[in-house]
Amino acid sequence: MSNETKQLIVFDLGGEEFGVKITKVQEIIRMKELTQLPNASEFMAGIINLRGDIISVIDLRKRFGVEQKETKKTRIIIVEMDNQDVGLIVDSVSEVLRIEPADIEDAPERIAGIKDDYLKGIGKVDDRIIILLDLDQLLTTEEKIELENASQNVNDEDIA
Amino acid sequence: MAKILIVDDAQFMRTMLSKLIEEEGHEVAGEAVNGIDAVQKYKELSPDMVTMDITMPEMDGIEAMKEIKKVDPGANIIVCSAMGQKPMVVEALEAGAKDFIVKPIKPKKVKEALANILG
Amino acid sequence: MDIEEFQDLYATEAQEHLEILNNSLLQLEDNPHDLGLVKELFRAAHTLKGMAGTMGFEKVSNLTHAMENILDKLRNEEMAVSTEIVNLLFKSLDTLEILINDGEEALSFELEDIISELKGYASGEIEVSNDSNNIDEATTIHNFSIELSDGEIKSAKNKLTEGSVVFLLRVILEDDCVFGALRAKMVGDELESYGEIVKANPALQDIEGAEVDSEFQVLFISNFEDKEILDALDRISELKELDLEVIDDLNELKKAESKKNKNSSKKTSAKSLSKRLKSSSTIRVDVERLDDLMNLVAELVIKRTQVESIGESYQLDELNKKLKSLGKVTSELQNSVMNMRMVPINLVFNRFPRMVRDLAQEMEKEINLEIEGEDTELDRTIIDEIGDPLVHILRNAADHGIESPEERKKAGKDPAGTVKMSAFHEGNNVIIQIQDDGKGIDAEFIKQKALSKGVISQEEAEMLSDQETINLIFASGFSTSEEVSDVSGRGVGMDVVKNKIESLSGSVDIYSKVGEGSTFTIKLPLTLAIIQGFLINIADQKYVLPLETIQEIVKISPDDIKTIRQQEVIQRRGSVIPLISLRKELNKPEYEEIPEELSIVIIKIGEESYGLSVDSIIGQQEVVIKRINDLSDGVEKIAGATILGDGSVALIIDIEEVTLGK
Repeated sequence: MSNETKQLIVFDLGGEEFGVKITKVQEIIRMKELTQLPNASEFMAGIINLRGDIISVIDLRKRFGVEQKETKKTRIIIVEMDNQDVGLIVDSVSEVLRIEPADIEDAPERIAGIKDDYLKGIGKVDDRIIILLDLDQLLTTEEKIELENASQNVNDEDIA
Repeated sequence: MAKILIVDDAQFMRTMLSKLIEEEGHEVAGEAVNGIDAVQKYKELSPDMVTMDITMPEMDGIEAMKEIKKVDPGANIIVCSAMGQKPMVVEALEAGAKDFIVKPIKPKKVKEALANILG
Repeated sequence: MDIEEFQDLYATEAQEHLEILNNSLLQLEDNPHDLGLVKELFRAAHTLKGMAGTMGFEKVSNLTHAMENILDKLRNEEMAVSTEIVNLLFKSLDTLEILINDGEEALSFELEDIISELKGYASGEIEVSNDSNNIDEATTIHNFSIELSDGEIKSAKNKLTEGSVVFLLRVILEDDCVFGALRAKMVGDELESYGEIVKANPALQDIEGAEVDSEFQVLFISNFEDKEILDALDRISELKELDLEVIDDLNELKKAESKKNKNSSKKTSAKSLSKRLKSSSTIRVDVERLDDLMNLVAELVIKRTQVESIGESYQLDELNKKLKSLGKVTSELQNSVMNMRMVPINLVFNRFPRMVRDLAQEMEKEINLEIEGEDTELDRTIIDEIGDPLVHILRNAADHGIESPEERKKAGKDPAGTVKMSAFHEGNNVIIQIQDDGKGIDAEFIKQKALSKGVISQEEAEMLSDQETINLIFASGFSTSEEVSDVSGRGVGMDVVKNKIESLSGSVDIYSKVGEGSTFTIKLPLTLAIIQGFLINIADQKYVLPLETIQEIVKISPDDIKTIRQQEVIQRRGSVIPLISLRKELNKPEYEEIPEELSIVIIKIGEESYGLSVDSIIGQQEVVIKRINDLSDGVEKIAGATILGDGSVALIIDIEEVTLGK
C-alpha cells in the first residue's frame, strides 16, 4: 500500500461501512430496472442499460448475505473490474472520504467466514470502521461472504 | 498499323493499354513514365499517336502535351483522366488533345478512341 | 411494353423531382424575383406531369398540371411571387408527395380543394381566356429542346447566306459516357469549323459547370453537306446517335419542336434512369440481400465468440491462436458488409429545411437553417432510426431555443435566429450537431424543475455542476416546456430521444450557455452489429430470437402435446418435432395456470425443426447485438443482449444451446 492519502467512496451494506478506491469508481447511479440472466451465478443481479452499454450488475447484498431491501437510497456503483465496467448494488452511498495510510490497518490474517482476499485492510477514521474492499478479488470465488460474522470479529478484535 | 507511345506512371495502366493497342493491331512504339520522359520519347520515336496520363510526377500530362505540340503541332494525343478531373480534361482539349478516356478505362472506349483517330 | 415494370423507375425519378420542387420552392421564398427558380419549378412540375401521365396516374398529373398553370403565370410575370402563392405551392407539394409515396388512392377530397384553389389563383388574378388546356400546348420548355425567341430567329436569318442552311443536330451519348458535357464541347468545337452555332441546349458556354445527361442539341448554320459534317462528328468518341436535320423554316422550329418533345419526354426520362442504373463501377443490390448477408455475418461473429470462450475455458492455446486470426478475418468481413450499407445522411437532412421553414412560420419566428456535411455516410439502419430524434431536437431548438424576433432584437441579436446542423466523422463515430443561437438553457431553472418533479434530491442538486444539470432534461419524466406547445409538447420528452439514440449505441450531450444558445451533440457508431430479430415475451421479460431460424408461428392446445421418452413433442405436418419450453430453459417458473392456447415458434436448425413455447409474440425488429460481460461463466443459453427503443434490455436467445440434446 502506498503512502499517499487515499480517497474512498464509502458505501453502506447491511449497516456496515465499506470503502473502494475512488479511482476504481466510474459513477454512481440510482437503482435501475435489471434484466435477469437465466442460469447465471447467484450474485449476478442481471444487466442494465447504461447509456447504451450493457453492464453486468453484481448484488453485493447477496454476496455478503445481507437482506435485500430496495429503498430510495439504494444505488448501483459502477466500478472498473478486470478492465470492464461492472455495477455493484449497495444499500446507500454516503460520502467521499480521505484516509491517511497511517489509518489503514492490514486485514487480520483470517477473519472467520471472510477470506482476506477481498480485504485490503481496515480503515479507522474517528471511531468508524471502514472495510476496504479489493474489487479484483471479489469475483474469484463462488463462496458467499459471511458479513455479519466478519464484522463481528473485527469489532471484537478492536475492542480487545 | 500505327506506332503509339504510352505515357503513364502506373505500370498497370501501361500494361493494360499496350495489350489493348496490340489487340487492335497497332504497335507500341515505347512507354514513358512521366512528362519529361514523354517529351523525350516523342522526339526520339515520332509516334503516330500518344496516350497521355494527366497526373504524373516530374511533369504532368498537360504540360507534356503542350511541349509535344510545340515540337509537332499535329501530334495526335489522347488524354487519360480520372473521374474527378473534368477541368483538366477541358484544359487538355483546349490545348489540342484529340480525345480523352476516363479511368477506370474500358477496352471498348480505348478501341473507339484509337479507331477515331487512326481511322 | 408493360407499364408496371417502370413503377420503380417512376418512383425514384419522381422523388428527384419532388426534391427539386422542394428545394427550388425554399429558395424562391427567399428570392421571389428569381425567374430561373420559377422555370426550374415549372420544368420539374412539367416533367412530373409527363411521367405521371405516361404511368396513368391521373391525380398526380392533374395536380402538377394545375401547379404548372400557376408557375406559368409566374414565369411570364403575369403574377408576382407572394407568400400566399408559395404556401399554396408548398401545400400542393405536400399533397403531391402523399400521392406519389402512398399511391393515388391515398386521398381524394383534399386534392380537389387544392386543385380548385390553384385554379382560382391562376384565373383570379388575371382573366385567362378559359382555355387552360392551351397552356399545355404552349409549353415547350423542356430539358432537350431548343426554343428561339423572335429576336433570335431574326438574327439567325441574317446569318443565312447563299448556299447555307440551318441544321438541327441531335446527339445521344453512350450510356456510360462520363463527361457528357465535354463531348458536347467537342461537338461544338468541331461544328465551329463547319459553320456558326445559333443556339445549343444546354448552352455550350457553361459546359464546365453543367453536366449533359444523355442528350444534347445544337442549332447551327453551315454551307457544308450534311454528310461531311456527320463524318467529322463521327470521329468524336462516345456518341451513340447523331441525327442531323435541315430546318427549312426557322419559324416552324418552335412548333415542330414542341410536338416532337411531347413524344420524347418519356423516352428521355427512361433513358436517364437506365443510365443511372448502369453507372460504370457500381451495381444495385436489393437491401434484403444485404441484410441476409449481414445476418449471416452476425451469426458468424456470434459463433466465433462461442468457440473463443471454449478455447479460453479449456486453455487450448493452439486453438486460441488460430481463432485470433479467424477473428481478424471475421471482423474485416463484418466491416466490409457494414460499409455496403452506408448511405449519406442527406436522406434524413433533406426534409429539415422545409420543416424548419414551416415551424418558423407557425411560431412567427425567423429561423435560418444551415446544413453542413450532408454527404457524411452512416449505416442504413441508423439513418432509418435517427430521423425522429433529430426532428425532436430541431423542434425544440425552434420552439424553446430561438427567441421571437422582438426578444432577439432586445438582446442585441440578429432578429433571425440560426440553427446549424452538421454531420462529420470522428474516429469510428459520426457526430451530428444541432446548434442554435437562441436563449440557451438556464441550469438553475432546470435544477428547480428537477427538484420539484422529484427527479433529483436536494443533496444531489447541490452536487451537480451546471453541465450535469442541463443534461437532466434527458432524465425520464422531465420536460422543460412551461406550457405544452403545439410544436414540441407532444407528450414525448427528451428521454425518448435519448433512449432512441442509446438503442443505436450512440450518446447525446448538450452544451448550453444562457443567452448564447445550445448545442446538442449526438455521437453515433459508424456501423452496428445488427440482426433481424423476433421479439417474444416469456414470464414478463422480452427476449429476441434470430428471425432467420424461424419457420412459422403456430397456436396449439395443451392437449396437442405428447410425451415420447420424456421429451415433449408436437405433431406438425405429419412429422413429430421436439417441444422446448423456454420458461424451463430460462429458469423461469412454470405457468401457474396452463393457458388454453399456447404460442409455439417453430424454428429450424440445419435439418432439424423444433417448437419453442413462448408466452406471447411481440414482433419483428432489427436489433443491435451487445456482448454481455461474462463475470461468472454463468451466462448460458444467451447469445447477447440488445437495447430496445424504450431503453429496456432484451436478451438474445442462443438457439443452439437451447436446442442442444433435444
